[in-house]
Amino acid sequence: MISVGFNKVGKGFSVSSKESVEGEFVVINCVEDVFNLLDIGAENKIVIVEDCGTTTLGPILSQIKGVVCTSGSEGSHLAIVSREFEIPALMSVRFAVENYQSLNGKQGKIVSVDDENGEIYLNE
Amino acid sequence: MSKVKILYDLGNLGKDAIHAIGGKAAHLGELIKRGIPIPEGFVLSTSAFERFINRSPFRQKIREILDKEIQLTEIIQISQTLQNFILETELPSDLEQAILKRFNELKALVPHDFQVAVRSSANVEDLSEASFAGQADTFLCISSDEDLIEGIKKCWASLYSARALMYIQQMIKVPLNLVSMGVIIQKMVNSDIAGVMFTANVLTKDTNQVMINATWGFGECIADGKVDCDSIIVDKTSLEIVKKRIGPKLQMSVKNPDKGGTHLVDTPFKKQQVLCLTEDQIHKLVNYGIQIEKFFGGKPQDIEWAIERGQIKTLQARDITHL
Repeated sequence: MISVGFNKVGKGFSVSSKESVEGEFVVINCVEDVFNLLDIGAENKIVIVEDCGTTTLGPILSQIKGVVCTSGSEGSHLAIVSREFEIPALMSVRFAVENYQSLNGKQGKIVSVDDENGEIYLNE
Repeated sequence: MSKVKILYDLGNLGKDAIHAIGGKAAHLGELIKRGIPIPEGFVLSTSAFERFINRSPFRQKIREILDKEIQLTEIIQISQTLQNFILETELPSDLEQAILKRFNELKALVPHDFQVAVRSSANVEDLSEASFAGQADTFLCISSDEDLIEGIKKCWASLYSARALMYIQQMIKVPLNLVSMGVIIQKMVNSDIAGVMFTANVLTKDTNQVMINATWGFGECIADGKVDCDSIIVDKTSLEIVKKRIGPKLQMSVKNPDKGGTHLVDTPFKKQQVLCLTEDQIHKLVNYGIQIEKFFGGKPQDIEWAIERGQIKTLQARDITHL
């Protein structure tokens, strides 16, 4: 399911809802980033997080469109909690871009390609 | 001193005692009663936590905060205030003595290299609808009296971490003054292999499959996502391995001999390349999983387990939420 106008930038294990979602990527590096997002509104955001402190996403999970995590598996806390909120979550994501921080603020989508795998696309 | 009980042996109470010892301890008690191997230990009741708060010099201020409705924007500040109050409060001496007495009894059973894990057991933990997964903190590899008391206080304080306060507000939706925390103090499993087992395939929601995540060393790095682990799917009826994915497992969590606690070290290359569980171990684990699921009324379970020198121990079992 590759749409025109989108460019594949990463892939990972799809561990929660299989829904395809579009939104703005926001890189979360610390708990303050979570609260900044609460301030400006987390709706329509797809958050990108690294391994640590992933459960700090709790506050915004009810609002965001999806989760992208550079580590983790089906059994990670973030995966468990994402399933509770029924939002798509990709874990152990590998990016095709040099520095995923550059995705911050850009529009794109995450798509589940089968039971196990998902892909990340950037809106060109 | 009131007659409220502050310490219980793990296994004395079962799942009807969530209010007294929290969800995790209540579920472990249930498993012990049914003969599932669980590391030995005891649990500090929610009453112990309440007594600690009631004897704190900050009790008035703590109560004021817990009694009011908290706005989302205040959470970071409130979290810091509550956590500071807890960390700056000393344990009442009767409480501390009771804990250390029980701790040293446990120590006497293990002459060498005795260590415990301090684990949260909130009365809002492991509910059917909301797991509270990863909201409160666990402290591993504790051996001294001082570290134990500090670990207990930190574990209590973690109930009021910003993330936990948010989760309580949004997922559990009970007033904060009704939320309390039991603390499990349990002999450390010095695991060679550890992980998580879901007695259903959480990706496809197939309840006839078991999904296992496994890695070398301690298993907490699976929960917090620091290690990309192995993943195995097994058919519950035939016990056949339906799918396996060898994770990179570049690092493993082991005891930190210098500072106490745990740290990540590089996994030996050969161990990175193979599944950490043998087929025999997978079958044994799945059989435990099926039994545990039966104990909890056939509801698919999310189980944390560890293997030390070939012996499987269960560290936690809770309902899988939102299957």
